Order: sequence, then structure tokens, then C-alpha cells
Amino acid sequence: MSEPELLLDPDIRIWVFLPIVLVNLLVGIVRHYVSVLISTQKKVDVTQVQDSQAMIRARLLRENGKYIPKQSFLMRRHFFNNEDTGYLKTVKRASNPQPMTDPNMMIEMLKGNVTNVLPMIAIGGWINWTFSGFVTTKVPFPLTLRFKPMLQRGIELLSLDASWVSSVSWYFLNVFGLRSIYTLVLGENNAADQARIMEEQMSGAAMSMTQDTKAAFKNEWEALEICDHKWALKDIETELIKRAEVEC
Amino acid sequence: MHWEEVRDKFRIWREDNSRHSEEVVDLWVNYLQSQKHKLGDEQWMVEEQVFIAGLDCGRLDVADQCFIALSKQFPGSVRVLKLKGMRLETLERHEDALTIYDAIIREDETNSTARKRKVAVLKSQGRIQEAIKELIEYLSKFMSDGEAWQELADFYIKEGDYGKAAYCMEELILQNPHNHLYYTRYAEIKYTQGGAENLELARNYFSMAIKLNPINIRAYYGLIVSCSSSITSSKLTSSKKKEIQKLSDWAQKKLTQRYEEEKSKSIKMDKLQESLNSLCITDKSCSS
Amino acid sequence: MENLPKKMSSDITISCNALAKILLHTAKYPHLAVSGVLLSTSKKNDTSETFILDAIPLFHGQLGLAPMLEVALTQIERVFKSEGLTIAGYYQANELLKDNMPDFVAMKIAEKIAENNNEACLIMVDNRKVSLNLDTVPFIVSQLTADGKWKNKEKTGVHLESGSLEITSQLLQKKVHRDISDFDNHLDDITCDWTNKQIGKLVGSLISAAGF
Repeated sequence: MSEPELLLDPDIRIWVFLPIVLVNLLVGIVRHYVSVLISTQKKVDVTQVQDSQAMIRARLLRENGKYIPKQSFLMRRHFFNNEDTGYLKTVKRASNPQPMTDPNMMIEMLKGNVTNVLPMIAIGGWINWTFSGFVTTKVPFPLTLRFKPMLQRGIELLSLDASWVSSVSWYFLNVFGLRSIYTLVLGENNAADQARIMEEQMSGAAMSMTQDTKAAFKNEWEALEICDHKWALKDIETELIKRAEVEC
Repeated sequence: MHWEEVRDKFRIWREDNSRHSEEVVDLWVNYLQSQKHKLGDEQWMVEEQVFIAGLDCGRLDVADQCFIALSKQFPGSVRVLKLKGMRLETLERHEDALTIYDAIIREDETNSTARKRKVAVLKSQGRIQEAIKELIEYLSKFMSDGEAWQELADFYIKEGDYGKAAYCMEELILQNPHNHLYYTRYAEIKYTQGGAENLELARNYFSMAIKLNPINIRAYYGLIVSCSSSITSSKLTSSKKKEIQKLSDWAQKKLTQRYEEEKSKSIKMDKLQESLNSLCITDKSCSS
Repeated sequence: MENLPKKMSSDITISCNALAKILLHTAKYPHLAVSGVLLSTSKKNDTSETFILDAIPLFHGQLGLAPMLEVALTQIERVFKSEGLTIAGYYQANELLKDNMPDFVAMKIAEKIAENNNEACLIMVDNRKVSLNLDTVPFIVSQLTADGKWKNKEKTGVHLESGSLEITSQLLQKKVHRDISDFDNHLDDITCDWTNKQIGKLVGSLISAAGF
């Protein structure tokens, strides 16, 4: 069933299509500079660094301890786990305040919201109000009917192909699509890159410690305790001699 | 040479962290300096690289130009301040350099590069024991820093404290359990320490290095001398000695094969064979 | 029982070849310590004047590890025995500019060499005197005294083959130090010639060309 192609008014191209792209681009650039202006350096405490490095070292000891002699492994496990002097046992850190009550965290969250979410809502709403009631463009791939209410908001036509989308959908496409343009214009690591920001929020900070140092240390202590040292070089000479005999 | 080739070469040297200071300065002056505006954002990393290379060769004229460019572009930057400290080090104004580094650390306790520069200053003043102390203090906070462990191992070897050097190498093995170079160095330290247990560890770690990299010449040589030392000095059973002898013979064979493959231009093959023979002590004793 | 005093050699002469190789090795690694051994003829005459004929660069960076040192010394003895040469000393250039004192590694190795050769020399490179235009011997040469201490030789007791300083300066200016190989280089790439025959030939041709 091939539908006759819809012919759109060329004015839509000039007055809707391109303005949405331009507005998006410019707002993105403004957002970048605003966030640079109001951003604060994330201050990491040296004790946090020390703890995270200690955790890394403990993990490496567990994973790769079999490559060093048994005595060396035990010495290091003693350093971490000893009841009286072990790092994981004796180092006490004040438990951090809950995220909800910590004022610094609140300010960070507020700033993040203001720079990213607010403009998105504002512009999305403006576009919906200004450019409603007509289709803006056609996506080059076929879509199912389920997409219609989402992508054709404001256009109540049952027979219209789902590939024809409204201005709001075009706006959302732009949000993701303009990432590379931002990289070109603003360079890497620009604050206008919303998709990347969303990714970051999900992965969480890798360098700084999670809020609960005590629990992390306890887990690591347990993991080290049960760790068994199976020396990887135990039979290396026999292995090589066998190889020698095979080759001769 | 085209300026783009030079740019690429610089990139590789930056990533490897290798020291080619003389070449960097030459290539910069002759090819890249006039084209530096074409480098885009990379320009600043190159300027930093050339600055450090200039300091290394005593070309303060080149270094200062880069420093001016960097300070103009990044006023108030801590990274540029550290470079200022390095410049003072070159002029042997060590105390002034230390002042700068201490200030950086006061401002930001997590700054690791300033701390490491302090160790470097102490080392260039010949204050080795203090340098070691400072480095240990650093490692108590930044205990996963492989570069620092490597430096500490070098210090200890120079001071003859092989036990502690071995400890540092173990840290490096934990961080990189498949790097044959660390195994080789560890085995060399163990051999130098001496004693039956250490000789056995030396043999094992040289063997592992060979397993990880079958063309590690150092490891083959190391295995041969460890085996011969084990056979002569240790109180081992004769069957164990026979095994060790087999291992040594195999290593010699592989080594000879390797030399033949490369068609070594250095020493004549028969002389090499003689040398290899003299390294092992079999039941028929060789002339010393 | 009377202990015969160890014969102290009256004078030490260093060949152009040896001087060049030591300084080229030092120049190749300006930021590291370097070490090597010295060779002289194994013939012993009564005058016991020591003529250092050649130098074999050994290591750069880490000088104090035993395995490769043992391998190197064994190979050198073997290879040069047929040419009538023997290991007659040890040289070292320290990492720091102002540091020209032998450390425990230098003394240990030099003592080991002295066990087989009474006249063994220990040469420490005086880094501050190394330049592109050498005007004086940039070495501190010492030998073992009867009571087992390393004593510096007087400047007058150390001679150079004629033209050594000029020729070595030329080599340094022409950046020949990029071509010299030490034992460490050989272990990393066995096609590197640690006997540096090419450089020996070059030095020889420069000497004859200059008419020294």
C-alpha cells in the first residue's frame, strides 16, 4: 500500500524546520558558557584519594596476588587486614551526610537542573505552543502506529503515516543530533552535550569514593580474608622442562 | 620532513613518555614552530612537551618562548606553575622550586605531580635518603601509582637495598601481571640478593618472563646464570640439579637459536658458543 | 711471612679509542649513570705501565644488578682472550652532574676486577669536565693501594694518546654518540655490536688522517 507523498508548504522549511535547528544550536552554546561560568571545581579530599587508591591496591592484591611469592602476598594482606594495624580495620572515616541533606550536593543538583532540564522544558513547551497543528518533516524510515500519539501530538489524523512527525519530535531529534556539531564548535567536553551528561549521571563518579567508606572497606576486608594464594609460578620450571623435552 | 609527521612523532613520544629531548628541540625549531597555529588545541600540549625538552637540553631560549605562550594562554594555571618550578630546577634554584611545589600542595593536597617534583628536586640535590622518605610518604597516600613504585625501586637498587627494591617490583607485578619486563627485573634483583631461596625465585621469575615473551634475551641469560649458581652453591638433591641442568641447556639452545636467527654481526658464533658454555658448570668443569 | 707490597703501576696511558668510547657512552645517556670495563694487553712486563687500549660500554640506568654483569664479564673475557686483551679496569659516570665519587657498586666491581689484575684502574668520569671541546682529561683515575683503598692517581700520572682530546671532541660534535652500543642495547636488540668495531675503525682512521 503506497501512499501518495504529502507535499509540504516550503514555508515550513524556512520558518519551522531551520529555526528549530538554529534555536537549539544557539541555546546549546549559551548553555555551555553559562554552565562554565557557574560551575565549581569538584573538590576531592586527599583522604578520599588515599582510600580509593588503597581499595584499588587491595583489589589488585586479590586479583593478581598469585603472581608474587606467597610470603609477599601474606605480608600485604597483613598490611590491609590485620586486626590491630590493618589499613582496612583501623582507618576510620566519618560517615558522610545523606545526599538529601548535604547542602553542597543540593546546590550541585540545582545547578544541573537549571542548566539542563529547565531550558529543555521551556523550549519544548514553546515549540509545542508555536509550531503545533502541522507536520514538519518525515523520518526516512517507516514507523509503527504506536508512535503516532507520541510523534504527532496535536495532529489528529488517523490515516497519516507515522513517519510524518510534528515539530516537537524534530526538536527532540535535534537535541541528540546536534552533539557532533557542538563538538565541532565548542571542542571536546562541552557542557551542552546533554546526552553525555545523562550518561555520566548514570555511571556515577569512578574516582571519588562512594558515600559509605566503612561498608566498602568491610567488603574488601572480607574478600581479602577468604582469598587463597595459589602461586602461579609453582610449576613453571617443570613446564619449561617438559617443553624442552618435547622440542628435543 | 613534513610538519604533520613531526606532530605525529611528538604525539607518540608524549604517549610513550619517552625522553628524546634533543630531537624534540631540533624538530620543533626546524619544522613545527612556524606551523604551530595549525595544531589547534594540541598546540598547548606540544608547547609543554617542547618546554620540558628545552629545559632538558639547556635550551632555555626555546623553553622560555614556550613558557610565555603557555602562561599567556592559561593565566593562573597550576600546571603552568609547576612548569615554572621545573624551570627553577634547571637553573639549580632548588629551594625556590621547592617553595613553589609546597605552595601548590598547600592549595590542593591531592596534586600528585607537585609531590613527585619534590622528590625529583631532592634527587638532583643528591639528598637521596630524603628523596626516599618523601617518596614513601607520597606512596602512603597514592599507593596505586606505578610510576612512583618504579622510581622507588630504582632508588633502592642504587642504594643496594635489594630487599626493599624487590618489594617495589612486586607492586608493579601486581599492577601489570603480564609484563615480562617486570618479571625480569624482579628476578635480577632476587639473583643479586643471593641465597638459595632467592636463587630459586630468580629461576622461577626468569622462566615466567620467558613464558610471557619467548624472545626476551635478558631472561634467557638470567636463567642460565641462575641455574649455574643454583647448581654450584645450593644444597640440592642430584635429581633436582639434573633438572636445573636440563633447563639451563634448553635456555642455551634457545639463545643460540635466537642468535643464529638474527645472524648477529657482533661476535663470531663460535666465540658466542664458547661464552655460553662457560656460563654453565657441568660435571666436566670448564676452564675459568 | 713477609707480605710483598702490591706493585703500583707508575703511569697509566689511555688510548684514543678508550677515551672516545667512554665519552660517547656518557654522552648518549646524559640523564643516566653509565658503566663499562676497560681492556688492556694481558702481557705483563716488569715496567708495569698500564696502557688502556679499549673500553667496552656495559650498562646505562641501573648499574648494580648482578646477572647481566656476570654474563657481560664472562663474554668479554672469552671474546678478547684470543686478541690478547684482558679486563683491566672499570669506568662509571654518575647520574648527577657534580657527583664523581665512586659508589659501592663501582667499588665492588672494580675490586672484583682487581682480584685478577693488580693494576686494575677505576675511572670515574668527571661530568663537569665533559664538553664538546675537551681541553683536559675528564677522568678521575684511581688504583688499589696495598691496604685495599682506592687512591686517586696524580694528574701527571695519567696520559692520553696524542690527539685523543681533539678527535673525541670531533666525534661528540658530529653526534657519533647516537651510534655507540652498550651491552644493555645488545640485550634489547642482539644486532647491536657491543664491541663497537665500527667506532673503533672510525677512530683509527681519524688518527691516521690527522697524522698523530
